[in-house]
Amino acid sequence: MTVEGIRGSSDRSVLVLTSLAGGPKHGYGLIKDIEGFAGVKLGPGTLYGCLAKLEQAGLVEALPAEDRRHPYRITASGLEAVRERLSESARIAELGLGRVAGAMS
Amino acid sequence: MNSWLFRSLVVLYPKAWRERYSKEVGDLSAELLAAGETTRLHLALGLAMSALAERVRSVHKGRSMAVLSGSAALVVVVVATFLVTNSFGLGGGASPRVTPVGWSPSSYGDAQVSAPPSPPVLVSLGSGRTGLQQVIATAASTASGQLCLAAPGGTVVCLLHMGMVPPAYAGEKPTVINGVPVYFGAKGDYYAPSLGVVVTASGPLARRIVDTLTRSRIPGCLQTSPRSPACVTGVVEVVNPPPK
Repeated sequence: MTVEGIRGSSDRSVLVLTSLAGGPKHGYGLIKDIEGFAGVKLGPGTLYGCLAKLEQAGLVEALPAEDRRHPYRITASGLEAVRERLSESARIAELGLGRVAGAMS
Repeated sequence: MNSWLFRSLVVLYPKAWRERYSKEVGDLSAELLAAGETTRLHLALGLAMSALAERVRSVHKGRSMAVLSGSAALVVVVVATFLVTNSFGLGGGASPRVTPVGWSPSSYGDAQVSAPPSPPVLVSLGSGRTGLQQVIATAASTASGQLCLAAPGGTVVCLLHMGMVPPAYAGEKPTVINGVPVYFGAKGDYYAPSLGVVVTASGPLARRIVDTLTRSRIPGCLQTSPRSPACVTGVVEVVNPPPK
């Protein structure tokens, strides 16, 4: 998956990349972090569905397991992909908020 | 989640996905259950739906629609089997299988334990009132720790309201009893924060009764008191006197 790939994918992949942009995390850490900053609680199946796609696309990579925990980290390609995606979202948000403000005034 | 159910759900995933991620998903599922972050029902449904999504993705990669249809049917069968054989409530309720044959389950708030009818269960209702009962009763008055003192040679199991785990034990990894994360304290205390109770148990049947601890299928209200009308205080006490 490329930047184009995650553009069309669910926002969950963006949430996972955003979480990993803050540092490597294992599954439980990812779930708690995403729940904390986005209010979205991913289940194990959903989370690993995202991780599988992202790993296949080279946007994240697995790190050596720590006991029964399996950490992942974002790659350089992943950072670039999420940066572009978030920038695009920010641009749309700015545009939308401007139009809403105009409509309300 | 029991291993049979997990294996059944993992089989639904495409082989390559299964070989790469099933162990990690299993470890994460166990961790979430132990931490009380999810229920077995939610886990099962989530894994089943994700398996279906992975199958759809594999179909998009060129596999036949027959694979998708078969997978969807398999998901339905496995989830239906799970629901029929486990009887979990939507809130992650109790499995009746944790109650041994012939034992009687009783609820206290969100918690449930089961006790055998023989030897007869002596229920202390507090304030000096005691009597032989076949069920566990909620104490008529609020807790005095003395209610939970063991009878000589007998078994005493008390469920007390406890909103949080004492800091001394909170950092420890909980043991899971029937899907309920439990922190072991000193002197036979078992803290189950997800159920809002601490179980104190002593005597020969103590551990067997504690092993029946599970989420009540009938969410209830803990005993009220004049000082605190909210459902926050109370005692359930079970005393199994030694047979004469």
